[in-house]
Amino acid sequence: MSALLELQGLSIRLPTPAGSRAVVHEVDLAVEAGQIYGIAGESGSGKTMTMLSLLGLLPRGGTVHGRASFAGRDILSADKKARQALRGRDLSMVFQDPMTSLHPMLTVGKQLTEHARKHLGLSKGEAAARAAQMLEDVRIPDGEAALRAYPHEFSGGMRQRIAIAIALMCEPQILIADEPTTALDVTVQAGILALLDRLRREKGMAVVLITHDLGVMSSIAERISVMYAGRVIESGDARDVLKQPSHPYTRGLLGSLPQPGLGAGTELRSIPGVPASPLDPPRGCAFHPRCALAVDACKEGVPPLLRRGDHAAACIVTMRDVASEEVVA
Amino acid sequence: MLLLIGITLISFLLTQAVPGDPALANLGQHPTPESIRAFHEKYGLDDPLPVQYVNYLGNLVQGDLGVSQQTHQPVTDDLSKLVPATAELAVFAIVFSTIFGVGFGVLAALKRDRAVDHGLRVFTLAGISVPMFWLGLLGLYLFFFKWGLLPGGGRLDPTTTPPTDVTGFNTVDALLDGNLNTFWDAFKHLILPGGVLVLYSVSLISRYTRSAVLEVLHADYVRAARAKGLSEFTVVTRYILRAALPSIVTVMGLVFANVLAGAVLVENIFNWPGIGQYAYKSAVSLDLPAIMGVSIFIALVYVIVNLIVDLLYAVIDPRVRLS
Ligand SMILES: Nc1ncnc2c1ncn2[C@@H]1O[C@H](COP(=O)(O)OP(=O)(O)O)[C@@H](O)[C@H]1O
Ligand code: SF4
Ligand SMILES: [Mg+2]
Repeated sequence: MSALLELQGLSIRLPTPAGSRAVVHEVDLAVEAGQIYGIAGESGSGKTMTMLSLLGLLPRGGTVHGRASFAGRDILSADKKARQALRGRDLSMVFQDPMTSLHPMLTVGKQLTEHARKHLGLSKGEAAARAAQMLEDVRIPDGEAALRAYPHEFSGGMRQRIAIAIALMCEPQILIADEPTTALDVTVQAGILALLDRLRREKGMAVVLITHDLGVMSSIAERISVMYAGRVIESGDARDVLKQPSHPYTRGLLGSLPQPGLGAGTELRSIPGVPASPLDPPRGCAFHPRCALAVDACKEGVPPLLRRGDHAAACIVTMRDVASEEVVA
Repeated sequence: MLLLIGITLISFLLTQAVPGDPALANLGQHPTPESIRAFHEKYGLDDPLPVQYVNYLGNLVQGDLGVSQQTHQPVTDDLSKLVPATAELAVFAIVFSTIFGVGFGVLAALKRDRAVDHGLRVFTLAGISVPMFWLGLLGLYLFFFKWGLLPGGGRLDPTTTPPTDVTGFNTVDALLDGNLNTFWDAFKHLILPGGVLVLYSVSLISRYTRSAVLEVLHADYVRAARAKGLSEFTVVTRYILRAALPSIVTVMGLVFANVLAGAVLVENIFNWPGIGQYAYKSAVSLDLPAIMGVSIFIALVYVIVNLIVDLLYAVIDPRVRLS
């Protein structure tokens, strides 16, 4: 086990009004130290739940099966105290909406220093000095004053920078950024992504970057996994996946990206049909109702992730050449 | 200010609208026409209404609420003697109902739809819907007549040495004297009347707290606090409870009003010599200066409590400070 964070066959069930439902199926992921790992997929595909399960923060009644290890240690079976000590210290998370993820009635300073004092045993002064430094690192002007301010005094982009600073306070080995730019202005998005990339280099941490926008990935991610209806349906080196997408869904996602050179006003091609719900996926390949390449066999069984070298996709048509070997093996 | 004038005017008109002659109510069994006329003259009852009102206001701004027709003491003197008794009862009720109400509410929200939550729901529903006088009489019957565990009324046993008057709170004054016997006796006298008030208030606070906590329980910033690795205790007290605090302050204002209203009832059941009992006695004897005095005093308290609640909002929520 060499990867810093490794998931094997991770499945998640959540309670719903209609009973317990599997929302994430058999996810495999391996994030190396210092790497930016992109996870893409439409809203509802299970990206957030997968990450929350690692932190032990699934909604009440949620259960997780399979294996997940961090730095060689099994984290799913660890006790409550051990997981609490891991959270915010080695494994940090930044959430989607900076307008709601900061407590409106607590100062920025309080929210920056609290967990650092607990995890690292810093004094008030030490924590404040570190917090001011962190704010500078994420390019918040006048950190000292910002510590005494409240979240509502900052713009959305600034708040997300503050949320990132909070996540970085204990110098985690992995930062999980769950759609950190989705709720923000396009003009602000690039700044946040550049910030994440710079911080990764400076601090040597790994970043799991979640987004439903593959375009965001192309510039900074090293590896990519694409999720659909609770499954990883394609994963591989970022350049391979983006240049030669093997799954019809990924191709569709890339087809709906604005193409450089086509200019503004070009109509985006989007995938026809509605995203499958992982709560009640279609039989067989969950993508078949929307897939132009679908054959009858696609409705039969769930296609396994088929490998072509380092690049894997769960499609029996586009990966036909390797399908037979896998089935035999 | 406008509010206070309005309140004096309304209570003034109300007291005037009551049929019956205060002279007849106060002069005993066989008033003579002369004594009635003398009574009317003494209290200015035959002046035109606007004149009576203006006279009253003029005296009011000088801190003169008139003389009670019943005790023959200035109403302000009566009030200053009785206010500490009611205040002690109210503080007792509010302190205990806040501690338990907030605690129960948080517990019910965190354990929602489990046995604790269902149990607390039944308890608080009963606490709100059972009439206070019934609860008071039941308490009196069980704890005093039947089991003899608690005193049946008053603030102290006749045999207990009263404490030196410092704050007017018998419990506090007894502690200041270092007299534990007196403290214990005063505390025992508080339990029944205070308990009746607590049971209602605790239910109200608990229900409000529960729903306020449920509202923020799944907020993003609560999940973010957990993701930082803070202990569950810190998350609940510093993040969840903090966010629910404005709603809790709102219900505290409501509880305060209810405790004052409940005090009238409770003080009469338990013979507690406070404002509530005074209000009742002056109402039945049509003691107009006393009725007016109590109304104005209570109105003033309400205004101050509302002011404090508004100030607290600003202290708690920085976003309120801006607007
Ligand atoms: N609290 C919840 N209870 C039950 N189901 C949920 C809950 N939150 C999300 N889900 C379901 O889990 C699935 C995965 O959600 P999520 O991980 O948030 O997707 P993503 O982050 O990719 O948008 C969704 O289909 C959603 O319907
Ligand atoms: S398995 Fe079939 S339906 Fe699924 S993506 Fe491939 S071709 Fe389309
Ligand atoms: Mg999500």
